[in-house]
Amino acid sequence: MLVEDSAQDEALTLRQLQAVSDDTDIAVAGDGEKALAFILDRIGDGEEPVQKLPDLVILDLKLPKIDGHDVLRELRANRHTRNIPVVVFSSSDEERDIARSYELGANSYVQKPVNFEDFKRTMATLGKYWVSMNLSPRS
Amino acid sequence: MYIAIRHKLAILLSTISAVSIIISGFIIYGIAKDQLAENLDSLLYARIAAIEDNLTVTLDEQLNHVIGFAEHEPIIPFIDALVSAGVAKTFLTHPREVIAKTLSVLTNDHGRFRKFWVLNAIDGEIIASTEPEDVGKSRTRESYFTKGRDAPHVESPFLNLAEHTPVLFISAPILSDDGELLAVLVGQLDLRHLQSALTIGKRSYRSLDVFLINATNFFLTQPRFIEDDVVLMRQLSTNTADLCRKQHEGMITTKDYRSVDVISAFKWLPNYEMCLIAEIDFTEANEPVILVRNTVFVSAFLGAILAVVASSLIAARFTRPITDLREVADGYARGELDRRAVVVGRDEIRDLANAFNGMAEAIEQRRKELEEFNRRLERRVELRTTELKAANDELESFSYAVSHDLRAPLRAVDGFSQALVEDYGEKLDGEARTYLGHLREGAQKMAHLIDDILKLSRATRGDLSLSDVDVSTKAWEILDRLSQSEPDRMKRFEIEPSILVYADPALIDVALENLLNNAWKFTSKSVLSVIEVGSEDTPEFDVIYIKDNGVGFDEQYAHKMFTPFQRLHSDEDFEGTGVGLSTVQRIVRKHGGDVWAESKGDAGAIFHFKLPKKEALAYEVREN
Repeated sequence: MLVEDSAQDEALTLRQLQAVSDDTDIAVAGDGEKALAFILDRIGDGEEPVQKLPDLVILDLKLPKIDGHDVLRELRANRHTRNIPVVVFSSSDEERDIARSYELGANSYVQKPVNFEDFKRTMATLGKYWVSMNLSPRS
Repeated sequence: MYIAIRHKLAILLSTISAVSIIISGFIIYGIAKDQLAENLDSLLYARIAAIEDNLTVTLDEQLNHVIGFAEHEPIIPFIDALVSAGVAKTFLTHPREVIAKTLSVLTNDHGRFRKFWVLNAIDGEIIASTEPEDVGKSRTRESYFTKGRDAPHVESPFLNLAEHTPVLFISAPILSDDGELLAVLVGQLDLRHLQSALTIGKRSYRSLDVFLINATNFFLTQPRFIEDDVVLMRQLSTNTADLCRKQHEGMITTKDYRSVDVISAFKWLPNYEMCLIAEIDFTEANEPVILVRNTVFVSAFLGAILAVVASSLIAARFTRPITDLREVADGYARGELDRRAVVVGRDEIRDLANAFNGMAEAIEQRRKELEEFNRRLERRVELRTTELKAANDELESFSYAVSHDLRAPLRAVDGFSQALVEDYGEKLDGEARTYLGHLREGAQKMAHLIDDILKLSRATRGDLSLSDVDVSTKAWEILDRLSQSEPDRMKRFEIEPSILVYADPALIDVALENLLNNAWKFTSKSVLSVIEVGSEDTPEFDVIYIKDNGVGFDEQYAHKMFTPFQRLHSDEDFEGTGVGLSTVQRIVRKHGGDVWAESKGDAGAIFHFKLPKKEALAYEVREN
């Protein structure tokens, strides 16, 4: 699942992720509220989630309404989403953003490169590692 | 040695008063002593005069008795008869008895005479007497006979050895009716009767001793302090006895016949050739003096003690305002700032109290002003802090926005330009590709600018965490990295070993990175890049310089180099954003130091920066 407010960034990210593995099903949310609504919708009210939860969340920090850190906190607070790997993917290389993310339980923090060559390399590595190599817990 | 004013004052007052009291005592004592001595003198003289009068009266009375009888007309015929009869005629008893009977008036209990003789004026034979057995005896050569024929006469006293009695002869001529000398009447006076003449008046002194001596110093009356009868048997051998015959009248202090100190007054009685002596024991005479002395001295002593006590009390009372004032000053010094001295009296101490209160008021005033000033300052600092915090917050959110929001569009420009080339490459001609290249270059440059601006703003954000930083090692690390990026370049690095500064290590890293990057960049066109790092020692600052042999710069614009985005070289010659040196300046200034640059045209550039020394900073921290 990709949480990204910028349409351009969303397009570029999806383009590069699909270049790594085009059979992956990627859900997209434009802000924090939508992202949480999407996930809570899938959990439902019962013991078990109604629908399958995302294997990975790629989370931008600066989001309208509910920002990335709050989304992360909500995810970590819910027992169903507690173990879902979250990769924070932000333009910021501010120390406090990085530290705060890990404090709230992010599994990784990757800065979005501005240079597209770098961006491509980063996305390739990220996709290969988190989508192809990394094993997420099955609910 | 610390002596309280109170004690000094007490000592001074005590001394003055005690000394004056004691001096007064001495003066009073001296006057009293003289007065008493004078009194004693006049008293003794008066006593002597009185006794002399009395004695004269007594003796004259006896003389008059003798003269009276010598001129007693009724007995003249009987004497005449006896004388006319020639040699003593025992048969003429009647006249003798008449005469004896008449004279016996003076020899009986009322009289003081022991006996009377009637001597024949021609041969000195006793022709009649109150003692019948004496009749017929002759007294021709005795002076009372020879002198008594001419006029009434008093003989010097002498001791009647036979009867062991001191006696005095008084004689007077007996004349006939025709005035012819018939006989001499001689009376023998018992001297012991004189004793009573000496004891007149009040006995005002216990030891008063009055006696008479004759011309050869024999006692004529019994002195009080001799038990044995000494009259005419012992001589007085004192100074008084000697002086009496020489001076006739006077008073001396001497030793008497007992060898006791006495005051001795004496007078010579020429008519009787006797010396009258009156003596008082010195001890007794001196008694009033001793009494006065003791009284005066005890009074003076008590007075002195009283003066000391009074002086102490006066001194304590006098210095009380001073000790009070000191107590107030102590209290004030302890921080009881509302303490004020009590203003009393009309003297310098009141002035002092007023001055103290004035000072306290002035201090209070200053303190209030200072407090007010502090409050204003605090308010201003608070305001500035708030403003600064607001500015900082703004800068922060700006940086935050920059780091998030400015990058995203650039990524889009760059990303989609590239995507265009990748996905539709075959449909694009050469010119379109070139344009897309320019598009991407612009985006890249913008990205660098954003990165540098963020570095610049971070350089002054947050607090410094100071520690010892090894500049030399850091310089080597940076230069190593730079030379690895362009391994083919010819270069020489000269770095002074162990340059130590006291600074924030992360910030110093950034500053060195910028300066060495510049040096590396601007020597890129030199055949051999020479970069030198060294230090200069000044009293307050560590000065570091970085020297290169690069293209240098126009010194005219040296001051502009540190302004953000200001560049002295075109992008064609040397790439750059113009933010690096302003970052360096911000870092150095945040440490309290400065940075400056020099260049001699082609000879390269030299950048200096100075940082406060550790000791200077430590001193500043202590000051704060």
